[in-house]
Amino acid sequence: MPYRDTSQECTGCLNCVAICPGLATTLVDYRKNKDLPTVTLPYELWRESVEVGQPVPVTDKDGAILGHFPVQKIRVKKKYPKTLLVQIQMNKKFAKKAVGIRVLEPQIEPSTIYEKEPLPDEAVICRCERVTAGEIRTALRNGVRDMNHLKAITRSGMGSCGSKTCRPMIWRIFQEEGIDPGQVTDRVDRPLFVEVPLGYFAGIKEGERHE
Amino acid sequence: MNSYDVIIVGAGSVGVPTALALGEKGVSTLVVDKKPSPGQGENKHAIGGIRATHSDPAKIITCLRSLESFSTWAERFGDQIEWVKGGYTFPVYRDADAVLLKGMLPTQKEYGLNIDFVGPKTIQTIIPGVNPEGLIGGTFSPDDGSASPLLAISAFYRKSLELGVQFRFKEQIREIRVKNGRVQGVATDSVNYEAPVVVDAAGAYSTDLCQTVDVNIPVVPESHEAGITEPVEPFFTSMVVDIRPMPGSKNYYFYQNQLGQVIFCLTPEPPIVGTDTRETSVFLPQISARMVELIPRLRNLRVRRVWRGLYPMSADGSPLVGWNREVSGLLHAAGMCGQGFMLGPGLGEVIARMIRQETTEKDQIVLEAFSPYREFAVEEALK
Repeated sequence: MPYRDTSQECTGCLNCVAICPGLATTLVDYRKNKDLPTVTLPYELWRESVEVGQPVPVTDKDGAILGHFPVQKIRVKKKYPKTLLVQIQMNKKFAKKAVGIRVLEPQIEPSTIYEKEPLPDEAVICRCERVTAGEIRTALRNGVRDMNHLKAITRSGMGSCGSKTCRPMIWRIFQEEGIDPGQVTDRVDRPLFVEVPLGYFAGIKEGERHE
Repeated sequence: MNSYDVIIVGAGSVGVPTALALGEKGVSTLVVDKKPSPGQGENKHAIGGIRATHSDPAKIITCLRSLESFSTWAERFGDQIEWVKGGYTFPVYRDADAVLLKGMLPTQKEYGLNIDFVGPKTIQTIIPGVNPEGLIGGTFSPDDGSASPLLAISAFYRKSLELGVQFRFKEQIREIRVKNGRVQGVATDSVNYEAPVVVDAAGAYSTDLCQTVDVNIPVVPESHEAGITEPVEPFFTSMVVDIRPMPGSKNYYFYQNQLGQVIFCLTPEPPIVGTDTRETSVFLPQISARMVELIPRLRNLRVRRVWRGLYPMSADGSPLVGWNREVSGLLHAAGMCGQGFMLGPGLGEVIARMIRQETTEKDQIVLEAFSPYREFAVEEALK
């Protein structure tokens, strides 16, 4: 793991910006211009679409656009060739808030990636116990309003995962069926959350024979 | 209309089969429960064992009838309740336990239980991989078995609805209503239900319910923990009961259900009194050590889930069933001592016959032993 040597002054080498796999490091360099510092932002996707002189939208950590700024320089460290170091000049007021650039215009809205049609009857909702949307729907249409009762008769949520996946999908089916959520009793969660061998609780170490 | 022949308080292991038995006789019946659906109290905490292997004739008679009901349910009504006729096995490693179990055999056989004391070789066939060191033998009752409490109560509930029984869920009973020493019905916070007979099938909460009419029911809730593993290829079908006491626990028992999951439960010593049902951190180390010692190959089996449920205990380990002598029309069916699931169907039929005044000679044996006014002197040996 790389670390920052705090006994020395930052030299502005940009290695810290280039090396972070999460693109979480930015560098604000005030040395040339105190009021209009140079901000270096890492960028890896669609590299060909970033050009010097092109104004790019710069965003803060929440993805809000701070403004459009022309790219001053694009640098690449030899040791980390896949990461572009995009440099812009920004007003010192915003410089520390900049975390990235937005090259592509937003193309998808969250509402468009969720299915709007009700799940087909044959869709598997509880993957551990392979319970389908149709089986759950039938139970709800027969009057089941308690997730624990639903679990008892269909086994949905009774598998190893403890209903981590199916619970929100079952809630969705309740809603699709027009059932008031206030009428529905949520399931009771219990430990364990992962499966653990009996031998572990009995104090037997891995690989040990117990005869 | 809020008027019925019978009101049952509690849609659990006892209440629902009792409602079913009354429905079959055409008695207009209402079941009231504070939970949102049937079996959401202690029924779903039961592990599913059903045995007539008891020392008390009343329990043997009642559970033999329950076994008949559970074992024939699927063919009679079509619901799968995961019934497995796997028997009950009590493996024995101590001479004292052999003496205790053998001593019960004459009574058990007299009342129709199919049971015998078998040698260590037979025990090893019934429980493959059982620890052979010091194994003396044990009892095996092949006609006992297990079923899913969750599916069974849902099936009883479905059938009860079909027979016209009515259910009210999410309704908390404030009091049993009494006038001139006679039951009038029950009152919830918002509504009165009328009936000349009220059956107290409130399990661990019977004491609270009966106190509304100044009746003191000697039931004290204790709790036991249970767990279930992942499913694996079935390799034994019998319930295994190890009655040896160990520091921190009395007996423990487990079986493999129809889906291949091993379900296990332990009786803590000293008892944990109260209605707290949160899971503890001591249960798994305790029971795992005991199970792995008994059947070493179980060490690789992974535990999926644990839970804790209540045992409404009477002083002698037997239920309290009978008419109250002070409040006319109040029928107790409480204090099942953790055996409500296996006693339920048999007891439900007895209660229905009591209400219809059709009790049989065998019922009298049961009702005498379970009388709330008995002496509480002899303790049930296999509680």
